[in-house]
Amino acid sequence: MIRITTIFLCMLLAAAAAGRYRAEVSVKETRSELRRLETSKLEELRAIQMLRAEVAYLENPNRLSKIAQAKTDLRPSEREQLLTARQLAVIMNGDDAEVARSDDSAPGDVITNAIAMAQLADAE
Amino acid sequence: MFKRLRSRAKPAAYVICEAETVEATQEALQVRACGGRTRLAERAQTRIMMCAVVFVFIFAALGVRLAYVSFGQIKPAARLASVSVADAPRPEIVDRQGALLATDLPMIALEVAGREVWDPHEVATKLAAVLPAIDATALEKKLHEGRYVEVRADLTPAERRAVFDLGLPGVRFASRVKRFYPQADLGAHIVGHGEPGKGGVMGLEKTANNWRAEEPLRATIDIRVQQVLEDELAATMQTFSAKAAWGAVMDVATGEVIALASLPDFDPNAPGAAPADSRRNRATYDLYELGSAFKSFTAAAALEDGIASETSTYDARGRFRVADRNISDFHGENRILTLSEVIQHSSNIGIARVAGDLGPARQKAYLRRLGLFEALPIELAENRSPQLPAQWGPVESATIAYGHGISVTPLHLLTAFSTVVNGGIYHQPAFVVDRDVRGQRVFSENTSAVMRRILRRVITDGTAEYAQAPGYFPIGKTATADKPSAGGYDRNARIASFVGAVPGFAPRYAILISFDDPQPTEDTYGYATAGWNAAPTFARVVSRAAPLLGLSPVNEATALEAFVSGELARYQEASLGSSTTERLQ
Repeated sequence: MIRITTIFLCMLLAAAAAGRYRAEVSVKETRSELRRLETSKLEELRAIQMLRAEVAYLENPNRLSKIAQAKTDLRPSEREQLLTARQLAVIMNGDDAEVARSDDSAPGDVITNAIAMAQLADAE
Repeated sequence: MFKRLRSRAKPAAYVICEAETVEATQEALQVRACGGRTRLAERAQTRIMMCAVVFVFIFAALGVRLAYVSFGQIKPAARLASVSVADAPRPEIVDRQGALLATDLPMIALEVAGREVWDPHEVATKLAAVLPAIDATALEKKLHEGRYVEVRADLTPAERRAVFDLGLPGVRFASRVKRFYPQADLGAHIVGHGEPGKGGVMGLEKTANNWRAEEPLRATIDIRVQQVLEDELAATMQTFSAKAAWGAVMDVATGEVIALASLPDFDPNAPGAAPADSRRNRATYDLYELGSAFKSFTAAAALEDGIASETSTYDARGRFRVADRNISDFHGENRILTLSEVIQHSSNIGIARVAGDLGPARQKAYLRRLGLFEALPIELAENRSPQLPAQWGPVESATIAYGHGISVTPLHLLTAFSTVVNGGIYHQPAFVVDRDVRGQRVFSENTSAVMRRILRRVITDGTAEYAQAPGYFPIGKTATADKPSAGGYDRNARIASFVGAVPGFAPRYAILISFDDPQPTEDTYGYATAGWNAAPTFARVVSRAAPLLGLSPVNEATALEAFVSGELARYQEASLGSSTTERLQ
């Protein structure tokens, strides 16, 4: 009985040692993977940071304004180019006489004629 | 030593004894096993049992630990978290739409240890071949001296790879963090700048020193509107050869500053390249006598106190003498004017008479409630207390009524003007979004509505016809103030300003435009007053910025109805709804 118990305990000890070894290895691997992911994440974040800064630089309104002046005929929009959504709806329905009355609408969203033209083209 | 003893009556008794004492009790006890094989077997059994118990405890502990390691949650190591914090020590600064204004950029520095270099000429030449901007001769000289040289502090990943591929001895790469301002000089006085080892030293950068690094600092400015403001200010400044210019756009419902410019300006990426004068924020720090814009405050106070109405009349003929001071008009109408006409034609005499009726005490009380007696509680360190007269008698009361004898910052003026036109509620100006923006009522809605009508006439029938912005029906007031000089005022040097609001019938944004000492041009027939430079600049800013701010142009009937009814709520409701949406985005 004693011998059986001793053998059982020894086997249990061996199994526990093996289990712990596997667990330790697994934990080490997981930690290593975690570190790799953290490093990778940090590098990605740095890359994103660089790209965001680059986008912000490229979208700098002063820069865009200079390019627009040099390369295009774009100018700041005039009052006549602006419509409210309600006015646009009236124009799209083809009732030009209603446009003047719809001009009484309260301040709301602003839509440029360019968008209006695009939508009219789509409708056609 | 344990010995198992058993009495006749009760066999399961144990005593602890020495071997010699056993003999003394032999008569009373029957010794069953005190020696030989049986005794050894029992002893071994006891020891095995004890070992087994110890093993069971150890296995149990191992089992528990095994289960914890296998199935439990592993906390991330503290050092992993600290890496990201160290890499982002300062918060980003973004505008109200999320556009990046300031951020930390990870950089790679290229360093060369002179003592480890075998051939300085080879190292310098090869590095110069990859990085053409560096001075190979100077580098070679430093390496010959065995110095440790930082060749570049801002290598790109491609440049780093190219240098690495050279395989040169003594070459090292180090991580650096650089503060980058992608908008360059746009909004530079609001964003501010930092200095190595000091953090932020100016503007919101200084505010960011005490900001949580994890969250971006969201400024109230809209970079698109900022560009419009700076662009128009710079154009007019050049046309009129002005020494400086400044301006601001404020949300009258919250006090949030949408744009603020001070020209000349600087690039925060290289603040040292600009003279110190360019880094001064004239709009929040400098004190000026801003002139006739103060007439609107005096008129509003008189209306609120019930001592004047829109049609009250004042004698503006000739000159008005107060104590030892003669007050005259620049735009002399030389007739009896209504209160509205006093503002329309910017009559110093008329408004001095209004101030006389109001009295110094009540005038001071209103100006105090408009925040003109103390430094503004803004997030920027660059702010100052107004300069008030040592005594406030009838003469001072009369001159302060038209903005002379009191020096305030331009932002003070804009904040007070917003209060006059927004329905009468004073809001402290803010540069950071989501600050508490509760206001305090100074004027009634009715006073504010009357002032809006009067200020509209300044543009339709007064001194600011060039401030007209079709569709937006702006309101406002010109202000041309002679600059103080030794012993009085310099008649040939002036500050020309226009402070206004759009849409005039239900203001959402107040705008200030100012030029320091603009010069007359041929196109302005020799004039350099605010009506010729600041007012048209205001109109252009409105035309360009209003669509960006979500303001829709309306027709004249709508505007007229709103001006006459004075119903602010109906039109502000739509405006504020839009503003809330902007904030949520």
